Amino acid sequence: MQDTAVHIDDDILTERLIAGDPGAREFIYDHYGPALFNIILQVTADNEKAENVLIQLFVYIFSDCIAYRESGDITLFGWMMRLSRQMALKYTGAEVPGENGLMLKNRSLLLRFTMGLPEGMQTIFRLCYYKGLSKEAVARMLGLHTDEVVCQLKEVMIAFRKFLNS
Amino acid sequence: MKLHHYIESGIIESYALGLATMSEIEELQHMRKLYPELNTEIRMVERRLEMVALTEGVMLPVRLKDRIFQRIDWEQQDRNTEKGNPSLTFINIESKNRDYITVHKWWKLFFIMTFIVSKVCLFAAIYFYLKYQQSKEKKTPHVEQHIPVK
Repeated sequence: MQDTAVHIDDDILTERLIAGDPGAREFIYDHYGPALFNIILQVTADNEKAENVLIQLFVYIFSDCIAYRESGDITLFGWMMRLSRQMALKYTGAEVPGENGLMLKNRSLLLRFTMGLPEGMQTIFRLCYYKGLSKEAVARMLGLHTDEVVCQLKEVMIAFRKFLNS
Repeated sequence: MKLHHYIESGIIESYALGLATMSEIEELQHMRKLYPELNTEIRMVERRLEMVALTEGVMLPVRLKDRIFQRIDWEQQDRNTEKGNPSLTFINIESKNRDYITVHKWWKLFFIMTFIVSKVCLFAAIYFYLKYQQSKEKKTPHVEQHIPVK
């Protein structure tokens, strides 16, 4: 869908965004918009909500891009990716965790990875990533000890590293 | 060896996905200072995620772009106004062919003052007229006394 071969240096892009360059804004939107929209959709599982989050996200990116520099984050996409998930979680609020049709239809890498996890780990990962719950909250919800959740999530991350490298 | 073990613990992936806790992030920042090569590892993980995300992108609704860029323009205008550098231009959209005229608000005060002064002048004129009449009446009988009787 997107041309992955094209990659403009993050520092140059950030510099142009801070300067308010409309061309840089357009490039960011056209190049990263669909990818970020997919990340948001996975969390909100609702098109209308995802669109509203995407608007908020880009308004923030375009007007406060200096926050990326100050954050100390390494890549611009990494910063935008975390930001999009955080904003989506904030927008959906404390909705009841559950399965939804849109998530099942979405066959992104992360969802494919999630589906391949053992049931217990899958639940923990879903609650932490897609619902934004803290490890303590997940432990309370599942009647587990916090250390157990921390340990299982660590195993999930090791598995994800292998999955990503494969 | 310690760095290798740290990387293999999945902390970078946890950080990249936004799942790392504050203490884990602080630890990672500390480790980045100790081992600058960790930055390369983080960059590699994030670039991998970026490449995957770009290929999995979902088509955006066409109207979204206009809404976002319109919001940005509005925010930009608001900021300019706050800075005292308004970029807005007042456009009079009222038709010139009409029965009313637009004047400065100070004219309202001027008209009120003129009205009050004119009233004061009117009352003063009436007052002095009546005074004049009274004095004239007082003088008239005195004159009549001097009229010789035939």
